[in-house]
Amino acid sequence: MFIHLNTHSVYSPMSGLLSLNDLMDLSKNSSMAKIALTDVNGLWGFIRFVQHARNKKISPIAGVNIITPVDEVVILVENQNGYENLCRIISAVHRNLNQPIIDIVKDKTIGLFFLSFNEKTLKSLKKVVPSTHLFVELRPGFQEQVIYNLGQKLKLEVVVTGDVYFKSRNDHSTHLTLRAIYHNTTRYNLKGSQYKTSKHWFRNEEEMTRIFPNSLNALNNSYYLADRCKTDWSFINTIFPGLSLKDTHRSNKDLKEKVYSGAKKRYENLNEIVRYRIEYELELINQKGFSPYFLIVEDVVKQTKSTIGRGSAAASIVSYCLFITQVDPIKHKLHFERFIHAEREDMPDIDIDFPWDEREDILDYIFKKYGDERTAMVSNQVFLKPRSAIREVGKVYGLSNEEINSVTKRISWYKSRNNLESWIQNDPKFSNLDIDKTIINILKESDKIIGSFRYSSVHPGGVVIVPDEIQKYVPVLKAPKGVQIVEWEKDQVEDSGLLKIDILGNRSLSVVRDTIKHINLNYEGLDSDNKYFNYHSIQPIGDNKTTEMMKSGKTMGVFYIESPATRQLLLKSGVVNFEHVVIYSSIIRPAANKYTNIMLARIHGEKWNLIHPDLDFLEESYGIMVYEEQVSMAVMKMAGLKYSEAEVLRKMMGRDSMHHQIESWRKFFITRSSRRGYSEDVIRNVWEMISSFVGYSFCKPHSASYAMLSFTCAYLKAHFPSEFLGAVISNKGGFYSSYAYMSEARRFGIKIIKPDINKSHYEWRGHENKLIMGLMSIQKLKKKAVHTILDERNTGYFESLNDFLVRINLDLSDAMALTNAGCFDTLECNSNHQEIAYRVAGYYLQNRNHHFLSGKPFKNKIQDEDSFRLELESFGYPVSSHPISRYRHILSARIKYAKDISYYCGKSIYLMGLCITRKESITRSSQPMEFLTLEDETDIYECVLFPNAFKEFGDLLQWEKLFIIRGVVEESFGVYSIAIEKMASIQQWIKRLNRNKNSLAYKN
Amino acid sequence: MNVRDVFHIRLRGLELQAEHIIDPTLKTRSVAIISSSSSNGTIISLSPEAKEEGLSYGMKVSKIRKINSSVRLLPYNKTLYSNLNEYIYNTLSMFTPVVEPKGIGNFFLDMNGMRYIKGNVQNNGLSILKSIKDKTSIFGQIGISSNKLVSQTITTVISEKIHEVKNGFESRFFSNLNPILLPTVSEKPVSSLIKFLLIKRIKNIQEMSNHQNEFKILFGIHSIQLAKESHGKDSRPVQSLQKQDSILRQTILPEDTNDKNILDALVKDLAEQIAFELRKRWQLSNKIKVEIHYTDGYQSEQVGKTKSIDDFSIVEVCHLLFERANHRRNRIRTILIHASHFAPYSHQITMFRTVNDQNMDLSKAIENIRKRYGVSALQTANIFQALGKI
Repeated sequence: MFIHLNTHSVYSPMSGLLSLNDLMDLSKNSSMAKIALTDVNGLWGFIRFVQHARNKKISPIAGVNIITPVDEVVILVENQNGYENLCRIISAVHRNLNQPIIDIVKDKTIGLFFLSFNEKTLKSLKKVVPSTHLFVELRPGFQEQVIYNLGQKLKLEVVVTGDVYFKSRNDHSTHLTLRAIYHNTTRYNLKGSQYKTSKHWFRNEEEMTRIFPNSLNALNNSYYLADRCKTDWSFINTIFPGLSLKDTHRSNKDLKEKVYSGAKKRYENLNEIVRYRIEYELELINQKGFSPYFLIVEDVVKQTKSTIGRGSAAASIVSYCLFITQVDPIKHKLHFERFIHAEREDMPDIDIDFPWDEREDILDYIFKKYGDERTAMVSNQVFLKPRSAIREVGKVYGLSNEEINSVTKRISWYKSRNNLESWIQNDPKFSNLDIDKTIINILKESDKIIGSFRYSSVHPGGVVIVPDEIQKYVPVLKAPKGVQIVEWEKDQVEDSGLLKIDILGNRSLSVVRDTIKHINLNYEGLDSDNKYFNYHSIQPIGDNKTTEMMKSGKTMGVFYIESPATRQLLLKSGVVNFEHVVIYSSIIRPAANKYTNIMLARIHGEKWNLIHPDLDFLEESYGIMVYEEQVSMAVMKMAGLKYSEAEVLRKMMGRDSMHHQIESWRKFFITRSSRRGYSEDVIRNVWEMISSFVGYSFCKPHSASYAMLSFTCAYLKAHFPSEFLGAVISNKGGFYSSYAYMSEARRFGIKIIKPDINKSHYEWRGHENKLIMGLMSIQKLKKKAVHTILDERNTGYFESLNDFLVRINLDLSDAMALTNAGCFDTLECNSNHQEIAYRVAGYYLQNRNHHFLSGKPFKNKIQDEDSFRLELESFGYPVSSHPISRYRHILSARIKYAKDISYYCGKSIYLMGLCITRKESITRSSQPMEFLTLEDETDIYECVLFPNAFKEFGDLLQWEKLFIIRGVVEESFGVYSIAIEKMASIQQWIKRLNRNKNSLAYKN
Repeated sequence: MNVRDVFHIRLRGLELQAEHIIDPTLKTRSVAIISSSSSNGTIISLSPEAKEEGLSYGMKVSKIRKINSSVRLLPYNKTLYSNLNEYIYNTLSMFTPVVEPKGIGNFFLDMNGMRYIKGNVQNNGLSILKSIKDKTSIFGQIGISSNKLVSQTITTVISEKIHEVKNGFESRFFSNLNPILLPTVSEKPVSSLIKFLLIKRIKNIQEMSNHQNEFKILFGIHSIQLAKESHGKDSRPVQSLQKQDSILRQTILPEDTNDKNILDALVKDLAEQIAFELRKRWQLSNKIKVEIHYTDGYQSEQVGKTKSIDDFSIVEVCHLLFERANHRRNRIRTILIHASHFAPYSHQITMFRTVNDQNMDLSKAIENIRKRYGVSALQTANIFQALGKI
């Protein structure tokens, strides 16, 4: 009888190779009813382990293998107290890895079993751990007799463990690669203590008996010990941040008061519908004990002026009245049940977006208020994905960064794939790649380590607050940033019953805040009741100017609807109102392309019927499944699932880790639905729609919440484009580069003004039809210098260059940056760049007794090329002219302008363009293709590189930005785009033209 | 005033010309010499045909392959180019005793007084070029002036075979050239100021230098030198090379690798070859340098010295230096061991045989075999394997 009590999964950072699935399968095949997972220094994958074990009907034992420079010990959990102590011990190890184990565990031994092979460790542990809970570990690589002697000497029993790190002996080489990656070395330079020998593979009982033939008792001991360990894990009870019963009662009362007080502000009159909804929600919230959580969130939201609630919380009138969310759930028909349902066992999170630059302050506030003892951030567990795996293995094999990049630049960071070798050899995306023997070896090795856990970093916003001591629920550690994090990532946190609040940074909220601020500054004379002055009082829905702008697809900079795909969708649909924007922002998913086109046709009048009369809830979205709750409702109706069962399917769709269950769900759905009388066609179509939700999708409240912010942004852009686009660029926000937003401003008739020492602020500022660049746009100018200048300018404008030189003490590099950016041009209208530069350099190069340089030693004419270069160096992009215009006169007159594309529908034309953004995609037959957004001096336009063209020119996109293209103008729903046939880099093209000219001249 | 005659000889694209000597069929082909054949290697030298195909100096190998796969890419053969350079140096030494080599394919010649012995200075130059051509088939060009700066600038900016700037015309010659040609402009503060002031012609510097005080404020400690250079003045003498006696052994790996076993074997092989040479001379090396060239063009080196001349101690020193130099995980392309600064090896005889004595005896025994059958006649199995011979 043998049970593995020391096994390491992929969650043992860069050493274990066993996936939890593998571990369970191996245990099952070896007829082990129990198994302990003892990952190195953590419970990194404990919740997943319990879930996997349950699925395979194996009893999971919690444990850890503490490995420090001074000690090594295996700890197993006997009971709940032991689990809490284990979390505390691991947290202590994270705090100080060099502490002797005895110092860590001395007051935390209750409910734990300890195993070690080290005499010194055992001797020290013996002082605090009773011999019923302390054992000598006999693991592969140790001689039986030596361990038995130790047991006799210390009067302790011996237990055999497998100390398992990989599946079979053949995996040892991959283990070495992982260790080499971890230690930043090559496999050949690993020291003996840095890796495990090839003996640490998963053996069954028979194989264990073979290596320890004289240790039957010790083998049996593993079974007896496993029997004494805790295996009944339950995480259903949500751990609320609230405290006692009395506190919860008070919270319910407080919440009710606050909700009604907020409702008075939100609704002019509290009618029966509003009251009924509030009461209904409050009852469910109280019933679930959710009030303290709402109050905490409300308290956090209060800390700033502009927030939006994301996710399902937007379906709640309570959230709306507490100003946590900004969408009226009654007006927009959002169902509270998506958020809290009587049947729902687990509790949903409330996710809130804050202005990106205020997020840190909010987190500080939370940590200060609730303290480190009760609070920690959720971690972001980083696993090796194809790209990072190839990169790391490539380094171990000694490839240079360039060589590695040649492979990895074609792989998205999030791509998860197996069988890399066959993928890379067959995918046309890699057709230009030289695949040699070394690369093949690297791909093979990378395949095996994909999914290995590397390290934990900080999740962008998840915060866990518990009622008492966080370390008793989950081990905590300090992330490199210095923030306390829990070991688990968001899904494990959620599944463990810990309640988290997501505090996420959102640039558009900062854009809205800053735009409003600048509008107020620009229109100070307007009366104080002006509706623009307050974030909550903006009413963008139904505003004509806003709607027209959105209809024309001019939404660059507008939150969530600015991507080329969404802009095109707005343009193609021609219908823009709140309900439709909510649909658009939900349907724009990679897997739902097909449905987007169906929906467009239906919007444009194509006749359609519901897929089945039972699915009437699809009426609101043209008969197409758009929101997550529609998935749940469809499976409830068709397969007769309960709400909680349907929720499992919904969750599975969004989680990578659960995608392996999709196939079994499909079969289940088909069987159940056909049994309930639905036709094969209906079932197939509905499942096809459901599967388009795999990856990511949204619930309606979330989309509605985001659509509200989209409308707010669009309103500001339509009415105050310069203030708005200035704020977008200053917040470095959005889908595009600053340059692209600058071009957009030009298309709105706004004049871009280069930085001016008397007019520019730190950030970009717009007013009417002018947008003045901020000093922040000057790349080499230090922030400190900007503040010095702005502080001094508060005492009075600079009257001349000499006045500036006398008043501001700067480094020469800052002065150069200001001069090159043209900041002094208006102060010295009669001097050219050289003269200003001469005086600036001459002044700041004097250490003391500064005096002005009088000489004008030379005066050359500043050429356009010089101005272009100076702008490029100062800002990273040209300001005075479009980069394309420099080449227009050199190239043929046959090259058309983007503004004229519509005249050439169906024809093949030449165009030039600067690449603004691009997006790789795949066709239905898995061929790679690319969508490009280009712009010339006149307009922005969309292009497609279909698979054949992509194969030929795709690589060019990796290093070039300016293109000359030949393509056919295509039209769809009145929107024009270019299907590229040929493309080249403009510079390459010009070089080729020059060469041809030269050779012609030579021949002549 | 006594006028100096300084020649600067530039053998443009010497590396490529050297390859043409080895393989004349390359002459009409599109060829580029690259620092490394990995995708991030860059072009060091290229043929006019390759230029016409759109290739340029410094272009990355990955890009070359995408632009035009028909260009023949040759690896950088350091030993060949160094040997050829040395041969040309010896040829030039026949014309004047003062020859200063400046990297591969660049030489300064102090031809003071030769004008009176050999007559027309330009004819002198032509006979030098002819001699190089006759002996090596290498083409070159000569810049003649009164100083090194002007002569070198001539060969940089003028494509004629031979060109002379007469004494007193240096300032005018420089006035329309780009300031980047002045050595002082490579100093960071100077270059950034020149760029800032948008100075594109040396004549602007010449004009500025007339306002001495302001020029000094702007260019500080560099002002005097910059002013001189802008007027084509250079007082640096041509210095003949103090030729360093040295032993150089190099190995280009059959396949780029970071496999410790292979690398150790190759270092051992090179170290034994150095030891063999040192024993021949019965000399110690006070400067032994192990140099590593990685596939991505990065170089690393470590310097040490030998205490004995038996195989074992030299292999030990070289291994140690190699370990220290090889601080990266990247694959290695070439390993070089360079021994110099020799000193006589003295060995005190003791009554009792030490380990060193035993090592020396063993080395001598191996040496006898090698003397008779060649160095590669006796090698350990791992060296054979590392060299791809097994």
